Amino acid sequence: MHISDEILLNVTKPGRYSGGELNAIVKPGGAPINFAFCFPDVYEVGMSHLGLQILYFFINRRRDACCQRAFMPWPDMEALMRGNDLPLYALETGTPLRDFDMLGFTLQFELSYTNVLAMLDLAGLPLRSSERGEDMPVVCAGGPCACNPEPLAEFIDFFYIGDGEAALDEILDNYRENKNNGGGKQAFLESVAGLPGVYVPAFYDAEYDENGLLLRFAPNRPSAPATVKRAVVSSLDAAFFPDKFIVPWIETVHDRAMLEIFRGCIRGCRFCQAGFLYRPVRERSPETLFAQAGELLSNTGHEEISLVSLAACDHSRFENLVDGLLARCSPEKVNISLPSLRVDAMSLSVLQKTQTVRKSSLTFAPEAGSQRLRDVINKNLSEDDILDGCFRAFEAGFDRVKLYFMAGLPTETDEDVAGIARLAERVVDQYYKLPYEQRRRPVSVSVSASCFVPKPFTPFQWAAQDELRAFNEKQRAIKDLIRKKQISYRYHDAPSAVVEGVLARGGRPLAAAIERAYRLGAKFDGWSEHFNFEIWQNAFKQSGIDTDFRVHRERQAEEIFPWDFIDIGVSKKFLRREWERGMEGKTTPNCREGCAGCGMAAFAETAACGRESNSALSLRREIQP
Amino acid sequence: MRYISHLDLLRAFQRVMRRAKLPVAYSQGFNPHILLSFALPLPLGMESARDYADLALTGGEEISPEEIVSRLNENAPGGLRFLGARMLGSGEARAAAIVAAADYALRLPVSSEEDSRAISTVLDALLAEPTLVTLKKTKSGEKETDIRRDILRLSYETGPEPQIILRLSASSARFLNPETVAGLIFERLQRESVGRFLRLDLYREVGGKRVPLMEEIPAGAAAAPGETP
Repeated sequence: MHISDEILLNVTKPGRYSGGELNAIVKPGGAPINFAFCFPDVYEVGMSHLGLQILYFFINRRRDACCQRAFMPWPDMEALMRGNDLPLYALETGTPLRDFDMLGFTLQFELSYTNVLAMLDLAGLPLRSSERGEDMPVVCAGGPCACNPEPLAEFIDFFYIGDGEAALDEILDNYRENKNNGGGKQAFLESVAGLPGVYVPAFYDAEYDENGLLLRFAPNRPSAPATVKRAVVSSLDAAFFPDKFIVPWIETVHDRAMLEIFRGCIRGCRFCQAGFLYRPVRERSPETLFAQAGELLSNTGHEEISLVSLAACDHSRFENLVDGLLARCSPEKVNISLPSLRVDAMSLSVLQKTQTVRKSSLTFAPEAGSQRLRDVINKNLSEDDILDGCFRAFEAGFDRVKLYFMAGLPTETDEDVAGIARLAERVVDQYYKLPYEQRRRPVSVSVSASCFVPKPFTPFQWAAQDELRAFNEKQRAIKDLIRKKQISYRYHDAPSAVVEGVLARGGRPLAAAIERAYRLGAKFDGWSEHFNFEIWQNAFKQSGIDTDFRVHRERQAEEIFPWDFIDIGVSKKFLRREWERGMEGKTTPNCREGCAGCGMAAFAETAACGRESNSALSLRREIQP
Repeated sequence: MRYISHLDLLRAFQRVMRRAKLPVAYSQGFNPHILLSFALPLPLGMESARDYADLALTGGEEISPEEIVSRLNENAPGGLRFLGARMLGSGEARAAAIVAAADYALRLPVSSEEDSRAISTVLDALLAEPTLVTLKKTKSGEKETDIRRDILRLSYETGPEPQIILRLSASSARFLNPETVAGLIFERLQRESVGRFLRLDLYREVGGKRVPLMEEIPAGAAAAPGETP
């Protein structure tokens, strides 16, 4: 790659742009299908993403395809690229993105949408699909935010909804066949429009009223199905997983090997999009994971391996898994990191095993400050669970605890908000129940409250999001109520939650506002130092978007949502029932305790839900009071 | 490679060691890491033709220096090559403790003979100065420093890729940044600073002579340093 030193030695962290990492794949001369995986954030964030590593090696395992990577350049690099007419290029070979057959964006969260536009722009491509010619790459997008593709519908040629491993091969097969037959971009899109998980926005007409409410949505040609079904991999044990990862030269956010121990979640917390989007739970067996860990570690040299899932201890053979990994990793001085644990006895004992040397901080996520509100959100965790968990952790030698909460949850009252401060103070009290000689240093409890943003495909998709003023008042209230000096309090930026909320549940009319915001200079909106609320307020105003109506009102039961045409497997009826139960303060048991009838069992013929062993079930019951 | 900082390079080296499954020794304590240390950090933006690091192995496994080098090279990422290894004698000091000087090549995009003559003249003039006082940034503002005695050699090589070869002090007590010298040269040439540094080799002092770190010192001579470049 030949980017001049005049550019690379004048930017921060030039290693972001120079490629050449261990295990990166360079296919000289390319392949019949040249695919660029585009991550709309900076290199260190993108390279920490498991999905990138999986799909990179998944596509590159094909002889007929070559996958390279591109990231959003940091503003210093972006300025130099624009100043030097250097188009956005892929790291492996330096090939400009516009020379690729396909660009694939991953949509991890809504505040990266302006970066998607920036990357298209830096590649020298028109932003809108309708303005990109036959000689330009096909632009596709996937990832969790693709479950409501409509805000980006004007910019993306096709979306892919679901597990990449499920139907990506078929899409690439079609691409190659179409190319061999001399077919163009339109013919290719026609050929994939009916595949599982594929949505071609141009093949559907959407009509909105002046408030942005969806009136009608329907395909405009026979090749496009009325309902787009999410593509689902039925068995993770049989699914592809790379035996190596690209090892970055520079330090990344999560600089370690990753094992995906299962996909999906049994819990059904009503605010959590991932909890519904990735159903059913599909586990990898410990045996598969041991083999994958062995290969990954010997091919990367990583000193840490992380067990990735939505709630690690929900793996039905969790202890078995951790013991086996410890036996393999400890002699090699490899740390095991468990980023997602619940507060219970088993988790704590596992944690102690994995952290024999260093007592780092523990993170608990009560999410809400009162039992009433935790029932509303279906977070089946009692105050006693939390306090007992903390006490046991303190007994075991931990003295730093992080507590995560959300402000602005549906039905939240002042009393619930005050509960956040009260719970934090009670956690501190637990520490002082320890005998004096066991308290080695002052306990530190850090409380963080984020602003709740309702997301599509959750029971809270009908909810009204708190207004800016309410968020600010709540955050101030929590701050004022915290008296103990052992507690530190951090809260998230409320204005960016408003933008996130508009984008999350928006429809096609948002295209104009997103493009406007980008033209006005919005980028890296997920980074507080770059987020500029004024730009977004202007962009919404100039495009006639009423943010109050879009996010701050409760939606009607019969309202058609922009994402209703997508069938993720969990039915809208079930989500509505869960919304109503939530409003009544009723909890719903998790998938292992009993099937709540979300629709997933019927959706995926080989769905794993309900197939767990009885022993795992009973073990679970003992732990969950 | 030159876009990688010293700390990132250190981490990359540790991962090569792990992939090569060498019987490396780890530090004690909360966060064990491989006992590996470079002779002299390589600044971001600079390439190196020969670098040195000390690596501690556990006593358990017999392994020859040749075997170490070949296993490391099998596991090295592009841009990194291991040139040689030798076992340190007991009592030999760490490479970082004995490195005294470094050679650098400053590659120039010079073409005309006139340019070449101008450069040679400037280099000769610099060497003829009894003192060369520069401003050195310190924690408490700037300080005047005489760098003349830290310029050990200065020469100009013509050819298709003309370059200035600099030998400068590079011990922990006396270190002269090659950029400082380049600054002086370009100032006298009345030109914008250009060119790229390649670090050529590192030296220690043995009996008043400078010897590349890789060279083994016969028994009885001064203490000697480390191994893998």
